[in-house]
Amino acid sequence: MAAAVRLLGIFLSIVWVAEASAQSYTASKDQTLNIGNGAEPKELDPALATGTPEAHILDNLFEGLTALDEKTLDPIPAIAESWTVSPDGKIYTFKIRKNAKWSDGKNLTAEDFVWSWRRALNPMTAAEYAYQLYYIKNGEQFNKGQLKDPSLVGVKALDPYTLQVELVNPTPFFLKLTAFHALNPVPPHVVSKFPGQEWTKEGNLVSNGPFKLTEWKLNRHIRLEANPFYWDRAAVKLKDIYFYPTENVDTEEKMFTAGKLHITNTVPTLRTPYYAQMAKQAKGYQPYKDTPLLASYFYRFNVKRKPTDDWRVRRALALTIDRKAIVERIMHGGQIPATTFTPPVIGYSFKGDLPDNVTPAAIAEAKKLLAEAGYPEGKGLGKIEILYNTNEGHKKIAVAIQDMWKKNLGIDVGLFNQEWKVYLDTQRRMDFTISRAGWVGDYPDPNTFLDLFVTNGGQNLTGWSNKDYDQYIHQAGQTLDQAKRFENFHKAEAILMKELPVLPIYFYTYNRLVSEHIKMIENGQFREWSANIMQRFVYKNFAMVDVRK
Amino acid sequence: MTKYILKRLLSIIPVLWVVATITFFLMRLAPGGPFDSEKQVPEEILHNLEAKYHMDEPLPMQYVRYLGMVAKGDLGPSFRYTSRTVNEIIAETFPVSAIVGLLGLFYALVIGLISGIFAASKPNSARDYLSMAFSMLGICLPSFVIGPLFMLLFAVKLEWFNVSGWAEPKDVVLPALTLGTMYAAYFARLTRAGILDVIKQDYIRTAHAKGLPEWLVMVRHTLKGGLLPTVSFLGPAAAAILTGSLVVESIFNIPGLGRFFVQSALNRDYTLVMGTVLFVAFLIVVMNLLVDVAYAFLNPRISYD
Amino acid sequence: MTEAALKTTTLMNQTPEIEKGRSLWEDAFNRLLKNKMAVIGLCYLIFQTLVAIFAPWLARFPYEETNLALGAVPPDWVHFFGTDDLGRDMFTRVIYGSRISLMVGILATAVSVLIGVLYGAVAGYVGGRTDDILMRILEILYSLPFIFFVIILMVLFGRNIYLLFVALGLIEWLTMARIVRGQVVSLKKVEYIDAARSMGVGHVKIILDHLIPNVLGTVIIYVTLTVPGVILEEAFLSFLGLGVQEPMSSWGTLISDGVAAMQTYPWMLIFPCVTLMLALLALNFLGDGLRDALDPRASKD
Repeated sequence: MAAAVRLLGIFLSIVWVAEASAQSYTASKDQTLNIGNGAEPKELDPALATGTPEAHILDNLFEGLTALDEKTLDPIPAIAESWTVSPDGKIYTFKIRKNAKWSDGKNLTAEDFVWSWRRALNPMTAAEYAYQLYYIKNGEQFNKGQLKDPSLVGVKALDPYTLQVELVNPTPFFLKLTAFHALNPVPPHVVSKFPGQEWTKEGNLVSNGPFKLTEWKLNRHIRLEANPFYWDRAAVKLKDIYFYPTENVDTEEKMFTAGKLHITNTVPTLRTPYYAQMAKQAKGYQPYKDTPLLASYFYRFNVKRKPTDDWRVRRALALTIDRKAIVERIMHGGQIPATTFTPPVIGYSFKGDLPDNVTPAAIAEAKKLLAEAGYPEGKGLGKIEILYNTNEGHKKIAVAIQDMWKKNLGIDVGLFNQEWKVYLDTQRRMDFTISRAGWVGDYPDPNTFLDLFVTNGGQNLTGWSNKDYDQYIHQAGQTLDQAKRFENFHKAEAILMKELPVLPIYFYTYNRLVSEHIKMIENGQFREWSANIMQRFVYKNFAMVDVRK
Repeated sequence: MTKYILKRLLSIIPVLWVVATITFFLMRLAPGGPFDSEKQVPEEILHNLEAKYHMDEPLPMQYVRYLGMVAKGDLGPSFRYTSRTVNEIIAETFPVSAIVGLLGLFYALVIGLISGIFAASKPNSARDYLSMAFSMLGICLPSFVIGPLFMLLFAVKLEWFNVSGWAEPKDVVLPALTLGTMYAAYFARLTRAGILDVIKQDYIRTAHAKGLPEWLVMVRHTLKGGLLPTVSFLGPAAAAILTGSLVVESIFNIPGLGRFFVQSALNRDYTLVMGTVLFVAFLIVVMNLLVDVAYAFLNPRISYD
Repeated sequence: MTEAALKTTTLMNQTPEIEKGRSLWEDAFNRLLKNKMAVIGLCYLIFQTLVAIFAPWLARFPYEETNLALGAVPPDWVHFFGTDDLGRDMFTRVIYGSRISLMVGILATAVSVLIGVLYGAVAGYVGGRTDDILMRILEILYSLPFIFFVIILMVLFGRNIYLLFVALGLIEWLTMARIVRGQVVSLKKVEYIDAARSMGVGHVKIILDHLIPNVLGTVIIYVTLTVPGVILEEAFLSFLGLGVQEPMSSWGTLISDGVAAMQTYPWMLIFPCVTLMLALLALNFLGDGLRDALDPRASKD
């Protein structure tokens, strides 16, 4: 049986070649994709993983109830072929595909999801992303040990192919969450066979996505092969994928130049001007791609400390940095100057009144604000320091901002860097005046940004608190009506941008080098590589091509 | 001599114990922990995590638990690479570092000794200045400069080698050259100084007076005494070079042990920190023992009773 | 045997002269002046030090001034060394960088020499159990993870430039101690030391007057190797937040920043590298000259 499925897979992958002949591309013989993946992954357990390099691999190994449309990021059927939602938005009923299988050939059932989600919430599992399942009834209580009986968690299998989930609140983005790796199923029959995390080793790991793990060599590579038991096997054209750890960005670029990589994780900052220039001037295929990421680069102000306790000081500082220059002259990577905190997502964008670049009017307003706050000409501000974690880019931006404040406001600002873990500790203790920060959205919705700054939120770390703000965020979480939600978010963000506990700087992009030999397939046609704002890549509809010259 | 070696081998145990104890408490004193990340983990989940790794126990208890494990030869699971144990990581990565290191060391010794002897054979001559200036190059250009230069030249431009990775035997060449260059310079300088130190000593003069040919005096007498500083330096250098280098391994993307020394500390991967530190301590003790034995060989005046 | 004894006596006769010191140092200094390369090296180092001291007067731009509109430009008559990608004048950055780097080079090395030579000499001279224990301590210190020391030092004492010298000196003395100890062990059985001991000369005096001068040559050479080591290690401490803070620069940080610019803006790497190299070459020739000049046996010629 297994052999027959595999044969069918090979057959299908040959047939599909014919369809593409209209273009100047033909499918290569060698369907192997080589990817630069940044850091060596910590783990390949979907419930435990937290980082980007892990997510990149897990998105190809495992599949959730839903997947996200590559372009719109709307939920589309995956392991669940369909679902229904109760009128109050709290009960979801998923129909699991009958042909969904694990990569060892075993059937994948609704029970597996129940088992996996209970495991992810189990305090003994100690999953960092367990809070992504707090939207499920009793999920939070079980994870925090207030409830001992896992059967009280709001997820059950009505039959082997029907899964029912009960939520605490109507959660409009729940179907996007189910595509996130923390909610992926894990194979109970494999996980329980091995002690600790040994089930994720090469040879042990069994998955349910388009690919399966065949090799995991520490700091060498991770190799995935097409999963013969994947329900949508015909859509998988690649034979295998190698993920190379590429922590050294300069080496990664040279690997790409030498043809060892098809897609890089990043481009060295100082090389981006070169590639961006090439992309503008030269003809033909250009490997350099900058694509937006749902993430915000900003500085936190400590509002419990003088002088940043005064919103006028914070606004004066926010008015006098040249975001455009930072983006264009330092980062070079097509980043977008941020005049507000939340990056635009489909259906939501907020226009703040902070300027892109420094204008004489802004400087005049800033000086006036400083004087009103009791610091005329910046006198009496004391020693303000910018804290950042050691990193080339953070350093350059801090140096530039320091000089901008000196030139525009005449104030002296100090810089200090700390090693990553010490920096996190300092930030948690709020032992800073201004601190560099970044936030990557967990799901494409403003909520993942705006709920940071609710009173005493775990990620707030500014000491800022505003009752109205809290109220708007809470109200937004109570309704399924998108328009109403966004209206609440707008009101909340207006408060945030008036009080400015944070200083927005830019919205991230991902800069990559992409070989012309990797193409996506859409409706049987090859098309150029592209990225969505979550920078999520499932290499299901990708293929290696030869270019006809 | 045998008794001396045995005694020294026995001293490994107390040395490792002291190293383990100091490191254990030192790293726990440093701010930040293995579970800190930009997205802060909620308090309750942090408790779960700490309980899972026994980090909720009092520190002395964790210390005793750890020593008990080590006594059984188990260095525990890594905090960061959760599916691997520290034993597995060392076993998988040390051979890689050792191969690069041995080759680098060999290259460094050959180049270093030759240019050191060459320079010392005619001090303050053009050949002396030239070879010393050349060896200074190796010291001024740290491996993080030489590595990318080599890569650019030999891999990207000339295409003699792969840019990076660890798949073919020739992948060892560029990292070993990069690693060895700095040490070659050290060896050259120390050898030159050592030889100049002994060259005017009485027994060398006597040997010359006896009419022995120049090269024989050099090999039999001068080198023996003149290598002392080089050999002293060799102990710690060999331990460092064999356990790999963060810079070289990261530049050439080699799966060696070296990068874990710094990275495990930065990640606060407590078990991996302890494991690598104990491993390197063991190597240092052994290398120094070898060096001390070599002393006795090089200088008959030294004896271990 | 008689021959050896005779030699010992001649050596013994020389020692009082050596101990007078003045004539030895004068002698050595005269010999140093005769060494052309050493004199050039010395002059260059003095020049470099003056440049560091007068950096604020020599620099044509404030060191913290960025010019994003300008960006990175190659060397010209305005910016002798070009500018970095933030438009900062590289000449300014390099000469300011020499301040911290020279200081680190001198002070941290001094710390390492002071501790290393004494520790090594005592271990080698006393020998036996003391030597054993001192050497085991050395091995322990070698093995400890330096990063945590630095992090904890910073937590305890805050960011402090003096801490930088201490931290760097504290690691560098270890190898120095081992090398000195190796030399002393081989020297202490030399006839004149035996003779001095049998004449009842005190241990401290033997160490200070006989052993240390005799290992000085090797020490000087190792010093010339330590200086580049600490100058570059400073860049790593900057990574941990202890070294020089931006926008101030050091040679170490300039070079490590320059590596990233190797292909795009090579002048960002070349000028700091060449400056460091010239200083180290000068130091190297001065070191060799000093070694030769201080060689106690050299006077025989």
